[in-house]
Amino acid sequence: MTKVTLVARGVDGKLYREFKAEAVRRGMKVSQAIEESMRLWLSSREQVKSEVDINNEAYERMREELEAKYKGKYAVISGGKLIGVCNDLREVREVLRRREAGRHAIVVKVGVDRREEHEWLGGSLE
Amino acid sequence: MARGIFRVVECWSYDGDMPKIDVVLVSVDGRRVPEKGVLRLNIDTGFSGSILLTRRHYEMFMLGELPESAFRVYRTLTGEIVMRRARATLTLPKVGVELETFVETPRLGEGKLLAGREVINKIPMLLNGPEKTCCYVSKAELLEK
Repeated sequence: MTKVTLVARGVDGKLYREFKAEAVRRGMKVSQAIEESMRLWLSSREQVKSEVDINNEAYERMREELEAKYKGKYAVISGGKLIGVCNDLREVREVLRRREAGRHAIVVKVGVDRREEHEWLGGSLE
Repeated sequence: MARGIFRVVECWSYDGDMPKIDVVLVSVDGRRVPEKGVLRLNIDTGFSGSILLTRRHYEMFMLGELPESAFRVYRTLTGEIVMRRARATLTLPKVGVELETFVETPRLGEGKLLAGREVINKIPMLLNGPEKTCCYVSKAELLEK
């Protein structure tokens, strides 16, 4: 396994001191604590990703049915399920609060929201 | 083309030579972004979308995201970029204007803080280049149609 040397500029000093103290309390080197933090951060990304995938797969499964029944309304999908069909965004907010949606939810205006082509010319593009 | 006299409601300075606009965004589930203060966005008339955010800011809108099949594809000088897209409400605190809008961030990459044409076209605004000021205006008197 290749080991690398990291130099990071601009890290919050207070946060780093707390991090280092916690590593010492756990009997770890700072490098070990950083590796563990990286693994945790990457695994949390996977968790969000899987929730996103679950909701998108659910939407594609129910898409035809939604378009037949609820055109023009807002469908709310969370946890891989349809958790509400709403007339406006105020109702959507209530559904999301009542149902305690996880970290991701799809809110789609049925039959209206579609893939669109746009342009981004020069300007702020790097 | 309608011509008229416009009344300046509020002006603010560019940052250097870049026109900017201060906004507050609210996610579909009611979270204010940023929690305090305002988000300063570059005005980019070459960007045809609404609000482009960095990945970190966009994550606050994950509870109102559109399905991937409704993500936008942007043609750029160097190829196509797919943008994640979510619903949001935009407020201009200087003038109290509120609009429903979309926020976006690249599916791959870090993103930027920009206001594009889809937002700019909904706001009566003057970009006064020589004086390096942006002004929010309202129509005071219609001269002719």
